[in-house]
Amino acid sequence: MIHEMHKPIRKADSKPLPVLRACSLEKSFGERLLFSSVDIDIFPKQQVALLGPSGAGKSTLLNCLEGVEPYDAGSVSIGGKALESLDENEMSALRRNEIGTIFQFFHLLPTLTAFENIELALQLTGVSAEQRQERVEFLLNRLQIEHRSEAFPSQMSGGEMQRVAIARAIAHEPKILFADEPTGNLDSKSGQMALELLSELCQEIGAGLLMVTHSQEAASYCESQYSLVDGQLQRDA
Amino acid sequence: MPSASSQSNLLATLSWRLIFRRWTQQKLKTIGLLSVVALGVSVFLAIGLTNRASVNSFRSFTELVAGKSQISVRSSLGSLKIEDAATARQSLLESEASLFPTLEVLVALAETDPSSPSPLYKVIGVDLLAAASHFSKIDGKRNQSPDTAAEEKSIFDHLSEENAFFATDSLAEERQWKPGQTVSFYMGQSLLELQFAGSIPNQTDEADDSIPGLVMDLFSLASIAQRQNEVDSIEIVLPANANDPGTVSETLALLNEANPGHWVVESQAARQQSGAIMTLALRTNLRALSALSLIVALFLVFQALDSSVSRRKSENAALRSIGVSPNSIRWLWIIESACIGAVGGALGILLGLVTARFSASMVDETINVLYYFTSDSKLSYEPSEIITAWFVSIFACVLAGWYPARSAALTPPAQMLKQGQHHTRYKRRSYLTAFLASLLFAGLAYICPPIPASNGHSIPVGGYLLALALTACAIFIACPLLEFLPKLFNGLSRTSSSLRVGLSRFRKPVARHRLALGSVIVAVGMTAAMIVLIGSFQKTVTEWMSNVIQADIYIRSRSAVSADSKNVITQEIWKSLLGRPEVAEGGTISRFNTRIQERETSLIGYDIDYLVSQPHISWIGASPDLSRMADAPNAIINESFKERFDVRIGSQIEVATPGGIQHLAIIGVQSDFGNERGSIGVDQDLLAKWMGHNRMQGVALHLKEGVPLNEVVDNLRQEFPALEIYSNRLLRSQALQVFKQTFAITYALEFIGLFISVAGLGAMLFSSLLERRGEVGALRRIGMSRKSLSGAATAEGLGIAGLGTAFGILLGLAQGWVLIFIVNKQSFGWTLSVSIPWWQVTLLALAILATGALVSWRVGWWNSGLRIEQEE
Repeated sequence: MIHEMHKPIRKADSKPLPVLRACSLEKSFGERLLFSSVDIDIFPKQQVALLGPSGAGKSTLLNCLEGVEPYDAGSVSIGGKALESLDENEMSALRRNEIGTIFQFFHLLPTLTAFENIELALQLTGVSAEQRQERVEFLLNRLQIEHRSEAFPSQMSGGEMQRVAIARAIAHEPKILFADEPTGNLDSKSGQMALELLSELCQEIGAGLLMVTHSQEAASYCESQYSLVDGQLQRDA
Repeated sequence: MPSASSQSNLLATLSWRLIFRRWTQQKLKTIGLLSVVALGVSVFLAIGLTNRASVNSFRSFTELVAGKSQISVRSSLGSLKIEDAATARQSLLESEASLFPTLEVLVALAETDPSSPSPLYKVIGVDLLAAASHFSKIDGKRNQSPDTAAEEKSIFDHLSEENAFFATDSLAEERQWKPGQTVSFYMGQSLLELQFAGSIPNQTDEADDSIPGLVMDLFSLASIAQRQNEVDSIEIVLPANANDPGTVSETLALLNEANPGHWVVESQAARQQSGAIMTLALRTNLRALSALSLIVALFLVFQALDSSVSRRKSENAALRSIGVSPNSIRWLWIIESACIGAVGGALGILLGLVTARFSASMVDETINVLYYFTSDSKLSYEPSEIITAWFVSIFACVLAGWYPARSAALTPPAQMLKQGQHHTRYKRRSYLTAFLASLLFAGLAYICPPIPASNGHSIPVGGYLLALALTACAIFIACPLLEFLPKLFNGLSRTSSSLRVGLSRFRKPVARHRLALGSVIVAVGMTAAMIVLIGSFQKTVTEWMSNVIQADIYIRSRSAVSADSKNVITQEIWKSLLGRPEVAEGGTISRFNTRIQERETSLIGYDIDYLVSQPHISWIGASPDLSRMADAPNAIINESFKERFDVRIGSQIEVATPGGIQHLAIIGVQSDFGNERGSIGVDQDLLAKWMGHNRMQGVALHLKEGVPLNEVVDNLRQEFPALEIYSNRLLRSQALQVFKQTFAITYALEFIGLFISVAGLGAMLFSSLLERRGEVGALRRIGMSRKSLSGAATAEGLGIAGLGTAFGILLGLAQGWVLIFIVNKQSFGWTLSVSIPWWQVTLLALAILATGALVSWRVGWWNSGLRIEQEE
């Protein structure tokens, strides 16, 4: 467990408040209503999958919840902070402290090694060099990629790249993790391993997870599943 | 097999849909790229037009009245006598040619501040009676403008008026002279009151080709200038029906047959060529500098196209996958390059036509000082020069696009579609090989002999090639070092995420990095080399001036500013100056333009007693015993003369004078940065004896101890308004001013070089960050602020600017050495002592780093402000 092996950077909240709360969220593209009346709460350690057909607006909803894309109506708060009230600098600070993101195409920096890619997320939060070294080494071991520490992304397999991306996303122990099709670019074995790790690590650091996927198999790793159909967010049984 | 026409149709369709539509969709980027090409082409064209104008300005001013004479006869030394006109007339008795003896005198307008130089005009004295009866245009004006009584008078009416003068339309309009108005001029040491009689319409066919100048009756001018019985040239005009090359050659032959020995008989074309040859070295150097700015611009085009190929890999792959042949893809890119060249070139031509107006006046200043009097050169927008610039632009852009086109055509579709494989292959060994090859080329260029030009100077081809080879060496050695930057600054990277991200780019530098580095190295190298050259020149000239300018007061005629002036200070004036109670000592200098071995040069008469008493010459090598020059045919020469005529101490040289051929022994070589034609100096009295008269052009006075200098200068100015009186300090500052004007054009080129290098850096970052939109978006999603992302872009830009500046300065020092010891020595024959103005070099480095950082920050800020979902 991370908390047993490494001193936590931030203490967990004792009161179970949602790490992500969206109320009456609405978004249109021109005349086309993409979604409306979206309400969702995600609590610490809760893992939520967001399903839906292609073009339903899953990624756009994820972007709105993450504060990357503006929404037309409603509100979103992360860690109790309403995104509408944040300026650009505060938004950046929120992203580097409270949010972790995992992409379909990994988006590792091609000119940084695996170690440095993970370390960058910690460097952004102002963690000292010694603490960064300790934390990154721990994560590399935890994700079983310690032997690829000095490898550049172009020298790694897809599975390895995604594990580095996961490590980067959780290195600073965010409150909420957003994952957009995290297995979309992986073979089934690597995908399965990535999801297992992601699930375990979210539990370990106490973060909530919102995963956009079109795969039922991937969604099965999450305790709650939602579908975006005809602009409405529905909780699946 | 598709037919050739269907291939052409396909290319036309694809060009329209892929190239021109993209241009309209990406307006800003397209405008930026076209602007860079336009800037390079404009400098190239402006210098070309200026060079041509400076050559044209050498043609005879007698065109004012005689139109284009086919042949002119001048003296190889001094002036012709009126009897020479009779001799020439006799030799052409069988011919239908008309002869126009002319006199040329410089006058200065007398309406300006006495402490500053006045506007100078050349007055042509011509037999108005003969000219008016021969050329209808000379009195045509009175018929066109019958409004005023003065203009209604015929030119014949003015023949009896000794002080009447005519001016060209353009000049009369510029000065707003009205017929009948009295205008004051200084001629020599006299103040003249001349009456403006009317304007002369342009005599040549080209409407915008008039030369500003004044015309007087030959005999009136000779009387005023006290040059009775003298003419400067005899212009020979053939009738229109006999104006063919054969008749011109026959006439030339007849005149040469009658040549009494001191005539220089030249066709108009040959005379113009003489002027061109005289300024060849200056113009060649300007052309080389302008070509450099074009090369830097092309560097950027190459860079832009290369990045475009990289960005549009998927587009190329899609085209390949639907069956478009690699050849067609290559052609598509070449068509795009040609279009960039054509459109950018056209814009550059418009800009160049405007820029040429400024560069022409800068070059005029230089030519005035170094060669001969020229009024404002009239720029003629030569179609051949404009068409050449346009084709050079297209050709150069196609050349710049060749490699990217080949790369686009040869990359397999699978590789094109592969994600994250945008890095070009980077082989350190190939850079080492290229470096060694460039070094070998530099060695060969160093031993390459200069090409001798017909004016006695040389074209330093080896020097130019050496400068080029050194540039290649600097680029090939610097590019692999980019990879070491992250290691060098590893410690710093650990302290800042911006530095870590920015510097990490150099772990796998792409072609764009190397090209931006190359363009910074070229521009900084070029600028630093000019700084070193100008600094060395300034130091050498300042030292030379402190040695040469030792007297308290210097005096010359207001209308004797140019090197070829014939206006002189009379013996009476000189004696009255020397006899003043406050003057302790003085000396004079006389000058005649002459021809030795068919090359223009100067013959100088020195006051030997003054030279011995006040030694003020900088000698190259041992100082000669100047007393050997007094009354003996011993001469001193300057360095340019030594180089041009390949002579040394102990050599004998023949000089034709009206007093016969003189055999002069060279006893000393002096430093002289006054002209590049060279000069040979002898005892003034001896020279006066050979020439039949003395022609004092300048006077130097030393005042007695304790005499207030400024007071004496003021008194002299009041007493002699037609003379220019300089105190020692004023002359030095004016000489330095002239020196700065000489290099005015290089300052403009320095600025352009700097602009292009910083623009190149910005363009590199712009396209590089655009290409890495996904990466930038990911960085923002993991919490990098706009400030940090801009910082990363700044670190990347500064890495290139820093390395480029370091190598650029090293290159500049090496190129400065080449310019001083090879190019300058072979072009002008001057020995310069090296001086590196470190503060200017440091300022250059700081300017590049600061502007590089600023541009990088701005591009980074813009890029990080794009909406993240757009980036994704």
